[in-house]
Amino acid sequence: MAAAAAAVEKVKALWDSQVNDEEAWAFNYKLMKAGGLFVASIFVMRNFGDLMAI
Amino acid sequence: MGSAASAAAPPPPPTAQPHMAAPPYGAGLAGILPPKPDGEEEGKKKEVEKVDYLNLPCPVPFEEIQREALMSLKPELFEGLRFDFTKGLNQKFSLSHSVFMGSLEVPSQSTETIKVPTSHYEFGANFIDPKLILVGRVMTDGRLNARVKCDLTDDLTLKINAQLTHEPHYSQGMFNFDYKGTDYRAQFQIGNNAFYGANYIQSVTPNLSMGTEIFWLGHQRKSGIGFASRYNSDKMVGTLQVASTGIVALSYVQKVSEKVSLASDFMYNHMSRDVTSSFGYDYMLRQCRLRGKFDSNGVVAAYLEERLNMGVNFLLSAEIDHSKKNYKFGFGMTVGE
Repeated sequence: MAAAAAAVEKVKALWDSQVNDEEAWAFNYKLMKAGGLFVASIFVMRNFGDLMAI
Repeated sequence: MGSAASAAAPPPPPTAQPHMAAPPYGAGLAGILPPKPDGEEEGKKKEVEKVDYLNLPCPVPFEEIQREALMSLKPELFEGLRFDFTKGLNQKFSLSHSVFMGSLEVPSQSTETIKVPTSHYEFGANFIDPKLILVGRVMTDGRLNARVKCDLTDDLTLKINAQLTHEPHYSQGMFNFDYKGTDYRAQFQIGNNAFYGANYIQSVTPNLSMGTEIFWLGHQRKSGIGFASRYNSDKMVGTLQVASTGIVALSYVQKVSEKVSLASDFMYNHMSRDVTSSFGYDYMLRQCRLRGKFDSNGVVAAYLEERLNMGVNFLLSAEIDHSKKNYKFGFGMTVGE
């Protein structure tokens, strides 16, 4: 129980520092957006690239 | 009678022996023939599967590790009018004239974009020989660009880049020594302001190559080290670059067909906390080439090169930056090769 509570507190602290913090969230949002675009574009290229071929 | 019987006895054994020996010999031959092709096939399969690590291909230069991605994602976008004319005087010597009229973006502290109308004329002279290339450019604003590429030996190449300006302390020069080995490349750079750099790239497998670079800026008392790797096959190229300056760069290019290539890259700068990702395409059609991209910052760009005639190309360039409300459009022509 104590360990679980400590883990929950750590998760809350991480969430507060990375999401609720305005400055950190601004950068994290940009990072997630760029990383998502990169991964999604590779996925599209490998799976649906043939549709864009001529 | 006894002698007759003794004379009859010897013949049977020698005749029996040859008969006995013939079948095993024939069977032996028959047994040898079938395994040969099987063995050869197995050998071929093994050759296909086995990698000859002593005969790896030569990797691409370290500075060109992302060349496929750059071709698609970083076209030569411009704004305004652009006209390039190249006249060949003979097989090796040619002159070029370039005119540019457009707006130049001035960096400003505010979010608004400030542009200043500008124009310049550029005169160039080119000397191209299989072993020596000389390129010079002079602009009306007083800048001079010069490039030299000389093959000292079959494997050693010297490159010189220089940019001279009338402003004091703004001229730059760079010497590059490129050495090409059987399965590796090495480069040493010397520049002004006490700049020294070196890089080395090695093929690890027929598809994978890894490299490292180091540089030193004497006047700024800075040094850095970088690492790069590249994996390429017939259809795809993937690269990874990491540097101690805080830069992480990933790129991926997929060749969909002979005419279409798709590319994507991811750039992260820890010092400026800037991160950008972009996706681009490159269509090589019969009479034109169309390249475009969009990135995570809301920038959409396209670049079109159309061949109107032999040696005459029509250029269209467009770039829209939605976040900064910066819109650029350019058109131009290229005459001559």
